[in-house]
Amino acid sequence: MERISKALIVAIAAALLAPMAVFAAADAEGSAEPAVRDVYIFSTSNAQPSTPEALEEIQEEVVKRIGIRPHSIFSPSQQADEKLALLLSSGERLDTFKETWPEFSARNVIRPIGDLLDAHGSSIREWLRPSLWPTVTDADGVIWGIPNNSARLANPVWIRADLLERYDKPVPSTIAELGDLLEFFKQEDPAGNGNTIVMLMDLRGMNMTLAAGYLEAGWPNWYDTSNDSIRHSVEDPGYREYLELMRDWFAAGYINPDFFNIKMTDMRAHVASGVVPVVGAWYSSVTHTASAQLAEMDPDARYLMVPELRGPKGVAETAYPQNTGGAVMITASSQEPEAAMECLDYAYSGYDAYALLRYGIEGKDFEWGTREPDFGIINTLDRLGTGRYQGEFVRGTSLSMTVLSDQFALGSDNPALGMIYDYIFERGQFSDGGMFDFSRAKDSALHNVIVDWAKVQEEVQRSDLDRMVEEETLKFILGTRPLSEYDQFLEDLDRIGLQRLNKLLTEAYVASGALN
Amino acid sequence: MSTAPAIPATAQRRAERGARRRRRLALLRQHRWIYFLMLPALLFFVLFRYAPMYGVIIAFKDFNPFGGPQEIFFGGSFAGFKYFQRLFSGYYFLPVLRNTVSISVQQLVLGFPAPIILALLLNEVRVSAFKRTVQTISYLPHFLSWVVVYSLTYALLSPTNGLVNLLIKSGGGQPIHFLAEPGMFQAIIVATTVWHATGWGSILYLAAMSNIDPNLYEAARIDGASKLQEVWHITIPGILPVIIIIFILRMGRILDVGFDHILAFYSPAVYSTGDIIDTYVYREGLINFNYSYAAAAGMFKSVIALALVVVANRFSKRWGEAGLW
Repeated sequence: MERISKALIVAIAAALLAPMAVFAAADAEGSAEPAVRDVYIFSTSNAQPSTPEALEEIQEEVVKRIGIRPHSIFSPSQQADEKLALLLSSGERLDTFKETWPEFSARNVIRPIGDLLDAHGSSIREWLRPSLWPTVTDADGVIWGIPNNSARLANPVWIRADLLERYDKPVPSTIAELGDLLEFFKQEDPAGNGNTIVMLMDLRGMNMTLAAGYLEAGWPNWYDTSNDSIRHSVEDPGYREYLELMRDWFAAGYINPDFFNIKMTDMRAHVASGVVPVVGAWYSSVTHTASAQLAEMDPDARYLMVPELRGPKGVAETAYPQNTGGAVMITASSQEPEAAMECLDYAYSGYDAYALLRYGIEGKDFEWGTREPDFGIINTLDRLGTGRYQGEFVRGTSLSMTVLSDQFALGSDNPALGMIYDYIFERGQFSDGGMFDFSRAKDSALHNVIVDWAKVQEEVQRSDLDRMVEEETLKFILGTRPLSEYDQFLEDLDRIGLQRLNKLLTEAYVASGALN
Repeated sequence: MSTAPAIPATAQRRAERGARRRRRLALLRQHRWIYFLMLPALLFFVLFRYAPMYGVIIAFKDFNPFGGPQEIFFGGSFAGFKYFQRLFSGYYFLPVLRNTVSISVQQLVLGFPAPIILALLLNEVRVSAFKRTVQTISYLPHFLSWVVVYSLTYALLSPTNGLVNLLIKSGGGQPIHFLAEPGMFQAIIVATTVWHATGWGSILYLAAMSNIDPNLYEAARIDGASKLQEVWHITIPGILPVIIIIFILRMGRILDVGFDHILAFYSPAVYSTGDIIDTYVYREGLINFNYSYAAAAGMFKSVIALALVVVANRFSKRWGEAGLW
């Protein structure tokens, strides 16, 4: 009996150990193959995440091509900031993410990438617009990320050209003329039954669209030579005039009443439904599918961009700076920084590489339109609309924003997206100026100044200041606070630290060499 | 002479203590499996409720949120009460506290009795099919997320195509942006809270009512009591201990006025009446990475809640009712 028991124990032990031996042997055999390295990428989207099958297929294709397996850590755009903060603070594995780099370099969350670029970033070095590098480089010359956006104009005023023709009205060139046109559309009510949304705006874009017409410089800062200081645009006397105008427009019913919490999807739906004669918001509210949907419903309906709109102090639009979208960074705790850089560089190595990482598998997720083997033209590609893949493995905006667009860029043959690419590539109705026609806009004084916001936060409760500016200016526009209290508003801002903030920003401005 | 009696008294006390300890150990041994059953719950509280309390230390440190978990134990320099001072002197602290208390008091006054009244009404319904239908319908809102509730509310109140404003416009009036009116925001929050929670909250009271001895009602009816007198003299006293316990527990959450609820509904237009401690902490902590400041605000809230629970418990006992401890 005892012998049988011992035999049983030996058999069980052997049965347990045998698989281990098999795995060990397999591992030893496998060690001859180069190990696949894993890279964890934080990705966000307004859409649903990709299907697991699509991600796996693309992962396998990337492994086959460069021996790196990208992994996506996905978050809906609305919760992206919180999720990223939690990921980074919890010590979870994360190799690369896109954000505004000074916030993270100051907290030692990211690592400098100059050495990685030298070793593995040849395609990025070759193709990225040279003018973008200063936006990711600190005062000591340390490069902290890969730029993913360029300076651009994204908040023009759009008007329904067919309505201008129908009513024989000229394209306005001043804000005052625009106001007259809004009053005309209000009275005419082109959508009928009082359904016309005369001017579609959102709070975020409102200042970028029109405020500069009343200001010394673009929103939200200017350099005041009278006291050698950076000042907030709300301190510019012209801003009060601008608020007065917005209040009047809102009271007159020109502006959509939900402008301060409207979502992009709702804006596009309004545009597509044909009830909006004038739009003053983020360009894709008109150019991305909405105008094409509108044309399907009403073939004559089309929007034109107002080529230049001026206020009492000059052009009305403010340009978005190069560093608004931040940079793609590599975490200080990354276990595979070299693989992360190789993966990022691969996206810039050619059309096929970028299309795989951004759009997925050819034939399943997209089809090529124009596809020339050599750089030098704009290639086109169309997504098949399967919704399988959302581009989690490459962060940032399209190549047209970051690389030399006339040499290496992707567009689309899809008519529904035609207008957005026309605007970006400055062709068609935008051949005289589209996204990069900086003559029609002003810059904010701090557009190309790198500010250490972590240091600022130590001295000033910036979030309180931001909130007060947003909340109180909104009240002035809605008419729930009289503009006679504007000086009180400025005093309140001073009380919670506006002048301290101005001082810190002035130091950053001077240190950036902007005065030289 | 004077110390002679003290020696046997000390020895006696010691002997009594020993006996008590032995009795306790015997009881522990006797009921060891019962105590063993407590273990998972105890472990849960130790691991997930008490151990994380160590995290409040970041309110007293210059905490770098991205230093990893070890930063909580070893990182950051001691900051004393710096973040509490900054919090209490913050421009928005008092308005935020005022909003929190105001919404909470309204929710307490209107929301606390609502499920009791619903349960009392349902308890008197004799047609069981109708009763079950009403119960099911009243429980349903509890299962809707606040985002869905917001969508429904927006569909009703939207200034452009909301049902209410369409009615106002058809009557010749001007549309009202209800969700952007600071004066209406708290009322909307309270109304949606009551709608969302009343049905579900009534379950506990209905369960408590089912435990009341039916003989009491029968005796009351024989004595000629009206329905209202039955409710007043039998039903309400029968569920009073449950009401008191729920009230005390509710006091502990008096400053929890529904973070996800407010977050879904508010906008800059209604910050002045809608911004509460939780949304403030959320913006400061998770959006602006100001963890120490947010932890100080969170700790302030917890201390207030603890004080209110202790006070409510003491009052409950003083009035001869049940307490939590």
